[in-house]
Amino acid sequence: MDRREFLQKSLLALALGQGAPSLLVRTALAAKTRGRILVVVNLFGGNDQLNTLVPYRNELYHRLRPNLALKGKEVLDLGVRGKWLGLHPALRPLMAMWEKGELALIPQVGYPNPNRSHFISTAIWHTADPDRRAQTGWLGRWADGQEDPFCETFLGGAAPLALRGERRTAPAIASIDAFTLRLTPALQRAFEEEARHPRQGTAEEIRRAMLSLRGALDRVGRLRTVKNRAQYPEGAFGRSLADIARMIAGGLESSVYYTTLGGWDTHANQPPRHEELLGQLAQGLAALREDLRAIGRDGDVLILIFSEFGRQVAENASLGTDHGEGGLMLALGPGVNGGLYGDEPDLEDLSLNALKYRTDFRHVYATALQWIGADPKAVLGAEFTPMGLLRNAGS
Amino acid sequence: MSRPLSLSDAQHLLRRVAARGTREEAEELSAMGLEEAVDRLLRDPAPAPPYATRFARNQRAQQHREISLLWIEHWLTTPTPAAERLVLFWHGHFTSAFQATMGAQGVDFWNQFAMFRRLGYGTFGDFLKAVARDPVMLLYLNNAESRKEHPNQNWARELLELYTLGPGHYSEADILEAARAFTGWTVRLKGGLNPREADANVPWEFTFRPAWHDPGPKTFLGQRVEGGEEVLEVLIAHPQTYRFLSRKLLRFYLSPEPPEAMVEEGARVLRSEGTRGFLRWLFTHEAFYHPSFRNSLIKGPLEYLVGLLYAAGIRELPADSSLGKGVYQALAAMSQIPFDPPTVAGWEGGPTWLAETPYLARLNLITAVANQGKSLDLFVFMEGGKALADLVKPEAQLL
Repeated sequence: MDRREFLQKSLLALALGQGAPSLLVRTALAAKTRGRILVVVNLFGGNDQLNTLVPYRNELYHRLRPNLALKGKEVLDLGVRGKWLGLHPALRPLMAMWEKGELALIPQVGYPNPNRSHFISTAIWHTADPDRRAQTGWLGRWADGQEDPFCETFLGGAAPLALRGERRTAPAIASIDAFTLRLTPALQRAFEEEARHPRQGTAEEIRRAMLSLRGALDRVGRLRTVKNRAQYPEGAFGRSLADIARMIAGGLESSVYYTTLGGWDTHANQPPRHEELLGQLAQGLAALREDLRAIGRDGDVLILIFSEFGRQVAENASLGTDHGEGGLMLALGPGVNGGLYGDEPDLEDLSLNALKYRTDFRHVYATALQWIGADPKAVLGAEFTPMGLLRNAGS
Repeated sequence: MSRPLSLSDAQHLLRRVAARGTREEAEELSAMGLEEAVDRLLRDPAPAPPYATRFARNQRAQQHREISLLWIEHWLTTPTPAAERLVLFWHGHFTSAFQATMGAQGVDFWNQFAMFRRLGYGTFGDFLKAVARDPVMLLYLNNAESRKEHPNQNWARELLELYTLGPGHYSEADILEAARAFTGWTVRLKGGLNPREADANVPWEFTFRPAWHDPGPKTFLGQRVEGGEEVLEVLIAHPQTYRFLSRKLLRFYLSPEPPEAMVEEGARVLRSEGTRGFLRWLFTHEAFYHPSFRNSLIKGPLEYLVGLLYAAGIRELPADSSLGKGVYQALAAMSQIPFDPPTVAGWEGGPTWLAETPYLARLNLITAVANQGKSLDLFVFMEGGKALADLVKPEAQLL
């Protein structure tokens, strides 16, 4: 929020008898709103790298995918910087970012001993531990060291493992507008009263959930008047991104926003479904960037997109693809040093019909952690060199 | 001779097993004694009413709402509610999602639930064989399109990972071989009708297409097999299948962290006596009534909703009434729409039910129920439940 907006809100608060924030609080607030933000989009189901970042000049690609391959004239050519690969046409809204050097494409991202189960692979990405010993999420571990419970926010029904720490789990807000408690004043008082009395066992776990909910109602309630300044695509994913922009504009002050878009498990009839999903993704991201520009926060935000694995190379008989290994990650924002961070896929060097992984996702995570000023080694448990994805790393 | 069953134990038993009840019902069970009360709860399920829709094949959202409300209504009115909580368990285990199952109609999902009800108490082997031929499952996990030229691996993978053995007990090669074995297991519309000419009440049925099947030999978990039947037999004979299921059932009926000894014993009972035998063993087990396992589970949204509506005397949920619409929206906000688990692994459950957004939706239901103006009997719904205001207590969320 800018200075004028801030003063107006303070005056409003004063008028409502809530007291104006002290100078100290205001200074802290101002310092924090300049902070950097990480937005993570988790594509659940396994996005098909080969039809997202398309090696359309490779004759083998067309041979292995007689029905699924995109034709050369359909794809959006990425030129010499993109090694003449192409983007799926539904990603057109991202092309301006590519031209401006604000879109990084990282192909064949994965981890050692790939697991092709959605759930195991997702858990590995979320814990950042391919050995599957960690019980907490990578961002949850970072949040454990933060004061504010809203240092990270999940847009959806319940926060995923990535946002679960030892101390707490990120607040889950599916929709700012629907986040209202509708109880009679008497029941509301009873709720407050019950939340004050500690209990044992599972009942105590639930009392803590009551306390989190009460805190979230206070913080999110204030955001309802914040308006979007861009047009988002229809659907839950577009609404989540729109709410992220409102949360940033309204001063929720999370350093991390996390949301998901499901439906990428395209074992059958892939082309129309994949096109629709990529369209939702690209239109949503373009709207979010536009909205952030309108409030002067675009430069503070790094957006990271991943899926638990890519899909197999040769198509199956149902016009679809089965679970693979290495997959595509995207990073975007003015802080990003755009370009292709890898090579054209080698379709002759496969692992059980899948692209092998070439980049460990933890190097990308290290970069994202660097962006929000976190210590990658402390969070990831080992040294992973951040990739050179950022324009001014560490500043 | 039945062992005694205190009123407090009867209340716990009824809430856990059926997720609905009244003080009077708990008193009746208590008077019967333990074994008799458990047998009474585990009676053969009453069938659900038939379902037929006036909507067309492409009006799937409307059908989805109809079957969701019809099922909840059945859970509220059936004399065998324990069977419905078990149907919920199997639905979260043998998942299929309406949205993601193109072509399947309301009637197909309704038939699937009827199969869960019919076979859910029986031996796991018979049940698994029926699930493998279930049209909804074949469509949901794409086996319906699997041909020898390019087998589709979706069903084979989830069969091993989620439905029988669990991760770590098979290899990628086993998945490939199982996928080959199931090629040709597909569906057709009853009477051979074309989807374009059939109305939405014509269901799919299983059919085997020899021309799509790969008849070559396969090696599955170290054994030579040819077809899907043999793959299922290997899994049905595998002790890990029963260990995996025993743990999952205990997590649903006893505690998020069941004792290992009970997992092992439960696996043996499940294998030799079927699911009903397993449940009878569990519900007559001393541990089931031990204080450390009481109120140790968090109600899922469906359990919360059914329990609350029943306590409020509500038995009908017409699809186009405001109550029906409100209930369906509340389920969405609480993150549990029937026939629509979020992933093929079902609902995660536990504390995730009480994340901020879903918890808020539960609290907002209190006002809706209060506005119905009926009297509330919260005796079974929650320990110590007497009046409306008790619903804001943490105890209202416990099962």
